[in-house]
Amino acid sequence: MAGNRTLLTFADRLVLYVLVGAALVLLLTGDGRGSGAAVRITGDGGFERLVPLGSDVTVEVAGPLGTTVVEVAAGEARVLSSPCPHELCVKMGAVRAPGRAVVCVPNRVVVTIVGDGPTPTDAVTR
Amino acid sequence: MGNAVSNRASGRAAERGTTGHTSAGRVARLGMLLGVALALYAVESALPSPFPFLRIGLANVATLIALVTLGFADAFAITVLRVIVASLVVGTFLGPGFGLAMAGGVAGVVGMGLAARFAFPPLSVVGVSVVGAVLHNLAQLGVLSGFYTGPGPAMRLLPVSLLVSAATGLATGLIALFALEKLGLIRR
Repeated sequence: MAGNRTLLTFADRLVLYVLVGAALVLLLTGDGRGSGAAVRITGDGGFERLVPLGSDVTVEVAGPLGTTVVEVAAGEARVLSSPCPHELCVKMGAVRAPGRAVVCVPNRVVVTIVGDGPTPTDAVTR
Repeated sequence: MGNAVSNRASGRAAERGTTGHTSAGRVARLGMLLGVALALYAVESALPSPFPFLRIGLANVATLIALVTLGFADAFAITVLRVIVASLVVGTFLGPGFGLAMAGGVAGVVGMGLAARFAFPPLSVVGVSVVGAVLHNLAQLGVLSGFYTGPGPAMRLLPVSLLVSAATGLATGLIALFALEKLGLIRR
């Protein structure tokens, strides 16, 4: 865009450089966050456990109907088995994004992904 | 630097001639620029975009032209009216997106008004446009963080938002600059 006519003044360029610089600094410094996602498992009687999403564990939660087995593996959380009649929690499959949850209402187990990552949108309207 | 000075001179001259009294010519220009803003908004809505929140902000061209030729009050009026009328047409009036659009529009035009008032000699129309684009996006992120998502996701979007506003502000600023030249409203 040089040529004999200059489109941008020096101040214009300065504003643009500062903007891009600030954005790059924020991008580079902000990179460490976001990997701190965890799985919060709550159950009957005030049971609560926080498990890092990156870990490989199974957690047994005692509820009014029996034991619900929650598995955290490969960055996902799922209910492996449940004593509830319909096993909707098992059929819900795995969750991995912050804000997503698997719930077993009959056995009072809630598995929630917590973290400061981007929360996925349910829908977009324009 | 020479072009910036002439920008300012003609901009101020146009302002002097129009502020203070409501002439028929000024009302006509206001209405026409509002129409231009709405038409640009409609054209932009038809353009494909990878993300719904990523907009070039073509309507800002009309705001910029109003700011340079008519002054801040008229640019402000055109922006607020554009957001309201556009939302009425699209059906998002007072919806969640409306607050975002209004906050962005008002912050953008106020920022451009301040930039035009205090930094127009060093900045050209393009620089003023970039300032407006940045404030537009910052205000939207502020509303997003305050009312919808909390600060985490908003902060995550901040660097991307700054880069995008630099690009879109540059684009709309150049379009406004070329339009103003073609219309003979500024000289370089």
